[in-house]
Amino acid sequence: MSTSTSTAPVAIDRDRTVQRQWWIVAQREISERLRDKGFVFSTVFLLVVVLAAAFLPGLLSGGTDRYQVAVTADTAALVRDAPPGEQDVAVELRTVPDLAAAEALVRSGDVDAAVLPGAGGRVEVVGESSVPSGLAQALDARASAAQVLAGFSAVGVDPADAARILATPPPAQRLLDPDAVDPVTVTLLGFAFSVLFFQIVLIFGYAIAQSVVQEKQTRVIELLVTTVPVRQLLVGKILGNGLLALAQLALLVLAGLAGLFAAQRDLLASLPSVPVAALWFVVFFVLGFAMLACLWAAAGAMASRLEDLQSTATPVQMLVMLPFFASFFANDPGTVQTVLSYLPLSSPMVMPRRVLAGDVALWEPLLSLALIAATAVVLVAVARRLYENSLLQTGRSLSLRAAWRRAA
Amino acid sequence: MLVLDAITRRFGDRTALDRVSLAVPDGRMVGFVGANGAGKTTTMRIALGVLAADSGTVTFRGRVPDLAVRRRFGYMPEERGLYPKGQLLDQLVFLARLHGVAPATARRRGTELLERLGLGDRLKDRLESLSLGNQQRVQVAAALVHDPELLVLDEPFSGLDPLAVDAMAEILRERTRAGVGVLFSSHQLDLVDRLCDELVILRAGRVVAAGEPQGLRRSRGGSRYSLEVDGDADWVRDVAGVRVLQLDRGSAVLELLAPGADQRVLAEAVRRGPVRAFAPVLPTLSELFQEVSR
Repeated sequence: MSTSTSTAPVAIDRDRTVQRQWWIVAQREISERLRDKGFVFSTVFLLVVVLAAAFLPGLLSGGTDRYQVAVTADTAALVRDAPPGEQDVAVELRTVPDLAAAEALVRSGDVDAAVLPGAGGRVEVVGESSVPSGLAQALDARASAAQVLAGFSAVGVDPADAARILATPPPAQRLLDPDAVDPVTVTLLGFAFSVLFFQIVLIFGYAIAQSVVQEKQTRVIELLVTTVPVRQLLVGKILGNGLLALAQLALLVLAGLAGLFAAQRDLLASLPSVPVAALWFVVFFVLGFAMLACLWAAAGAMASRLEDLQSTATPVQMLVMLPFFASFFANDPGTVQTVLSYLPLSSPMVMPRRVLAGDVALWEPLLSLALIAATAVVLVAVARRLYENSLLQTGRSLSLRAAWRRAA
Repeated sequence: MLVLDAITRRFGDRTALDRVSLAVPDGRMVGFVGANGAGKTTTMRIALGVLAADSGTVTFRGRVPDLAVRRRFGYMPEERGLYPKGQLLDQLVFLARLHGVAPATARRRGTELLERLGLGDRLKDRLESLSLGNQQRVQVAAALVHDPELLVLDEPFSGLDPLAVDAMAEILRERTRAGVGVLFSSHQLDLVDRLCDELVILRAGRVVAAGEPQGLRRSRGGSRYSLEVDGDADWVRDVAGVRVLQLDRGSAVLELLAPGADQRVLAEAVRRGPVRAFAPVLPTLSELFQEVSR
C-alpha cells in the first residue's frame, strides 16, 4: 500500500500477530506494574518482612552471648576460668578497685553484673534489676568449679587430679526421635505460606481486576476488541500479572530460604523438609493463582468503573479470604487439616504445611494439585464467560446473573 | 470498498437500525450525518465488528471481514479511549503492535504521526497531562498508526480547534488520495459539506438520503427558484403553479409546483421589464438535513 506521507509501507505480518497478541498484552501489563510505585513498595515491604522473619529469631536467641562483668581483686580468681563444657557465653571481666566502683558500673549499665565479696565470706552476684539467666548460670558454674578446686587444694589433693575430676563430661543427651519436628516451627512456617499466598493473590488479583475495569472505564477496550480476540486479551492480562506474581513469590521464598540458611542453619538441619515444602508451595501457588486469576478478571469486567469494583470483587475476595482464615484452624495434623489440604481453595495454603511436617506421601500433594487443576478448568470456563459477556457493557456494573445470561 | 447491506439491529424492543445500507468506496470520503440517537455509532460499531448485527451483512472488498481483515481498519470510537497514565508514544506503539506492526516500525510511525500533529516534543508525556484537544489528536494518531486501509471515525472533529480541524482534514484527504476509504460522522454540517465526497443521512435508524452532496441537493431542491427583477415582483403570486416562499420587492424565492411553471414565470417577468436573475436554488446541507429529518 502506498502512501503520500514519508512513511514506508507498514509490513503487516498477520499470522505472527495473531499468535503473539497475548504476549504484547502481557508485556504491557508487566511494564505497567513495574512502573507502579505501589507495587514496588509492596514487594520491598514483603521482602523486609520475610527477611526479618528469617533473621530476627537468630539475632534474638542464637549465637554466643557476650557479657561484661565487674570484679574486685578478691573475686576475680573465682570467676576468671571457664569450666569445661561452658557454651555460648563469653564473659569479659573488668577489675575495679572497690565495691562502690563496681556498683556504679552496674547502675550505669556499663557492665551486666558484678561479682563481689558479700557478708559472711559469701560471694554475691550483683545486678541492677536482674541478672541475665545465661550469665547467672555461667557465673554459678565458674564459681562452683573454682570453689571445688580451692576445696580440693585445701585438703591436699593434687591440682592436676582435681582438674581431671572436674573435667568429667556432664551427662550427654540421647534423643529417641531426633527427627521429630518442632511443632512451633512448623506452625510458623505454615503461617508464612498462608500469608504469602493470601497477600500475593490479593495484590495481583486486584491488579488484574483494576486493569480490566480501567480499560472499560477509559473505553480503551472499544479499540482493543477491534484487533485482539477477547480471549487473547484475557490470557495476556493473566499471564503478565501471573509471571510477575510468580517472580515476586520466588524472590520472597528464595530470600526466606537464604535467610534461614544464613541465620538459622540448625533449624534447617532439624527440618530438612523446608526446601522441598517451599518448592511444593511454589507449584501450588502457580496452579492456585491460575485458578483464581480468571475470576478476578471477570470481577473487573462486571464493574463499569473502579468504584464498582468493591462490590463485584467481593465474591472472589471471599474465595481467597475464607480459606485463608480456615487455614489458621488447621495448625495441628488431623482431619480438618487433611480435608483442607485437598479442598482446592485452601490446599495451596495447607498442603505445603503438611509436606513441611513431613507426614505425607508423594501422591498426596499430586492428588491435591490435580483437584486444583480440575477446579481451575471449571472456574476458568465460568470466568471467561462472565468476562466475555461483560467486557463491552459499559453502562453499569452487572449482576452475576446478568453477566452470565447475556450471551445465552 | 466497505459495504453494509440491509443491517438491522435491535436493542430489546427498540429497533436501532432498520435495513441500513451504505458503501464506502476506496479513496472516497463519506460523511455520515444524523441526529443524536439516529444510529450512527451503532452502524459504525457493527461495521467494525465490535457489535453484531441481528441481520444484514458487512463486506470489505467483497468478503465478510474476519478479525485479520478488520485489523487493517482504523477506528476512532465516539467515546475516546486511551490509557490516561500511559505515555503517548508507548500507547501508539502498543496499539500498532496489536495491529501487527513490527515494534521498530510502530515506534517510527508513532513518532512521525505525533510530530505531524504538533505533539513531537511530548512523546514521553502522560496522556492525562495533555489538554482535551491534544488528547483528541493522540486519538487520531491511534486510529492511523497502523496505516489502515479503511478509516471509521466517530465524530473525529468534535472538540478540535480550527487549526486542528484543518490538520485533521488534511490528513484524511491524504489518506483518501492513497486509496483509503473514510467513513466519518459529524454534527458540523458545513465541515461535512466541505470535506466529503459522499453523504449518508440517517434518521431514526434508516438511511433517508445517500449520494454525492451536489446531486442530493439537486434532486431534493430542484423545484426551488430565485427571481430578481427591477420593480415590484408582486405579480408572481398570480402565476399558476407557483407558491411564493419569500418576497421582498424585486426579489422572490418561489417553489414551482407544476411542470412548465418556470417558463411561464420567466416569460411573464421578461414581458414586465428587465430580469436580473432567475436560477434554481440548491438547499444548503443543513436545509437538506432538516428536510429529510422531518
